[in-house]
Amino acid sequence: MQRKQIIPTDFLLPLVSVVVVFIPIVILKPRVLQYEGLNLLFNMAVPVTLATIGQLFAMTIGEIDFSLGNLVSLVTCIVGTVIPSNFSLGMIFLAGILLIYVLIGAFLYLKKLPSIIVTIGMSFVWTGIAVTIQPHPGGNVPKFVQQIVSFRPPWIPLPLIYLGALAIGIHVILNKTNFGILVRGLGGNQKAIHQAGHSILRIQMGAFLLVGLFGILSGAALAGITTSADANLARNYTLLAVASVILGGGSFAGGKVSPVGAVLGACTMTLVGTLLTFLKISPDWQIGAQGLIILMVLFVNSLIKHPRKVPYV
Amino acid sequence: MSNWVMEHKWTWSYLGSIGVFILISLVSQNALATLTASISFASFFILVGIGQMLVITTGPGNIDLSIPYTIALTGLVATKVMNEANALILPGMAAGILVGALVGLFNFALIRFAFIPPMIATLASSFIIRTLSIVFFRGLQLKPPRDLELFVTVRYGFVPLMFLMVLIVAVLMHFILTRSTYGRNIHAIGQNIRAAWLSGINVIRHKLITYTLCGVFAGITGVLLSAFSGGATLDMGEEYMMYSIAVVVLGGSSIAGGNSNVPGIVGASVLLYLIVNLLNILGLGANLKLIFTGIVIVIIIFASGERLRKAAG
Repeated sequence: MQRKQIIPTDFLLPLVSVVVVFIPIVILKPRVLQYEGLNLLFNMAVPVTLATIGQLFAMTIGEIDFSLGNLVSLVTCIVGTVIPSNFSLGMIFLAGILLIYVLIGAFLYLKKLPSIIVTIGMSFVWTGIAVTIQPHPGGNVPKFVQQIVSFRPPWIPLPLIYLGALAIGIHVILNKTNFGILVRGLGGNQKAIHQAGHSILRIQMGAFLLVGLFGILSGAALAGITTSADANLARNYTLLAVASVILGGGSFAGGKVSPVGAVLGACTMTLVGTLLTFLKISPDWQIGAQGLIILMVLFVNSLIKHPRKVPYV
Repeated sequence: MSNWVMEHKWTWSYLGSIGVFILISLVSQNALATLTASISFASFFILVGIGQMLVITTGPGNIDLSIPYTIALTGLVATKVMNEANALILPGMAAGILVGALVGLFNFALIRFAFIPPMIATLASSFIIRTLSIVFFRGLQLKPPRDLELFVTVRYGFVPLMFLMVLIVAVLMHFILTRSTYGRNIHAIGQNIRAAWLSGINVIRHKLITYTLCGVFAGITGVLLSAFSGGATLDMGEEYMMYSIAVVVLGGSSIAGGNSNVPGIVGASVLLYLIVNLLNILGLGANLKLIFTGIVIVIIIFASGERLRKAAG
């Protein structure tokens, strides 16, 4: 029995969009192809990708985390301010965040709550705590965190190793492990998973644990790269991550996601900013250009995937 | 009585408002002034909340994330057109509202003709709107015309005229939603889009009207808010992203669409702003206010949870 391969349609488009953004960058600045260039180019893609993977787990089960960017910012404050002064307190904070995520997952299921509004509420809480810890940007990110995201392996630049490992690792988790298959199944057909005798509660708690975990990893990576703690550093990550998942071929309906595509989507979103800078486009236009590019990619995506005949939207 | 409250969960927001007002009276000498300030600000929540609710009512996945930057753009356009002259108030208002309507139309076009999910389409269009505001209106120093500024701050006793007018709009929208063909039809579309289409409802036209109306409400809010706060700024709509969704859900409308509740939006808006002001009076810093607001949102959602259906989309 040959299982259906997901390779062609699922991440062809995200791959093409990365290449389309990458080629002009190379033409403008050929030196980006060297070790140091690639390092700088993909550095910021690592935290964006980690946040995207967090959002990916939420969207796989048909939920969404509207507080992710606020969480990532909070984690930069914990890593940059709490951990240097009191390591164990910092770890308690991080463990507390994971616990809250597990509880959110449980309550969302038990009380049939809409994730969008619960996470909107949490976004206020995260930012409030972050401002309490770090009222003004600053902080003193520990050396070991900086080293994790900046050491220099031979041959292949570090960000590319991380991105590759994440793409493959998450792909394996979602497609080859029992847990991953149950998570995808929950997004696809909750009733079927329930009838098959699995605890939806446990799957949902597990999925939300991963959302929190990758949010924390994203914040730690961001703090390591920028060496700053800032309560507003990553506010646009929430929507950047949603856009990256969708660019990568995921859907809001849940069940259908592509980890490889999501990583490529996150790279596209990051590279777009760099390309616009290289093109000497004023920063004023950048956010609008980012919006236009998302729209173009998704338009092409929908043309290829759904030559729709539905007479209603 | 208690059964009726259980049936009509939006009454909680009214009971809550009364409770919070009593608390305010206990800690403040000037509770009525606080109430006046609260309902003035709540007027803006109500306007954007109604627009957001119309969109959400049309079914799972429908949401307008472009509201915050539409508010900023329309406020800036109106302020610019008015150019501090009383004679130009009406053209300015018309221009602001027209821009809002155009944004709504643009969002609809992206969703209908480019087949982009509403969340991403409105997000990407908000990036573009933001860029337009920055490029054309950065550093706009104009103040609103004197007469308009007076108009939005007129009070009868402790009730602001603006709040009364917003209430009239709310009553009107309540009857449009519950009694008119348009209202009944968008409920039908939200509950089962295919059934609605099969029964002959022009789904596309209704969505066009709905997204445009949402833009119009954001436009009205932008114009009034810029007058109320002494000028338009690039960031003046920022908090409306979260609050516009929060008041819809707290007011008892389902995030999955198909049911709407205008009285609930009024109650939830007043309640949220009373809470904000209570926290102000207690002298809490910005950080603690955020944390409490978030916790209150989550608690209200938990308390009124059972009935809400999960967002699928």
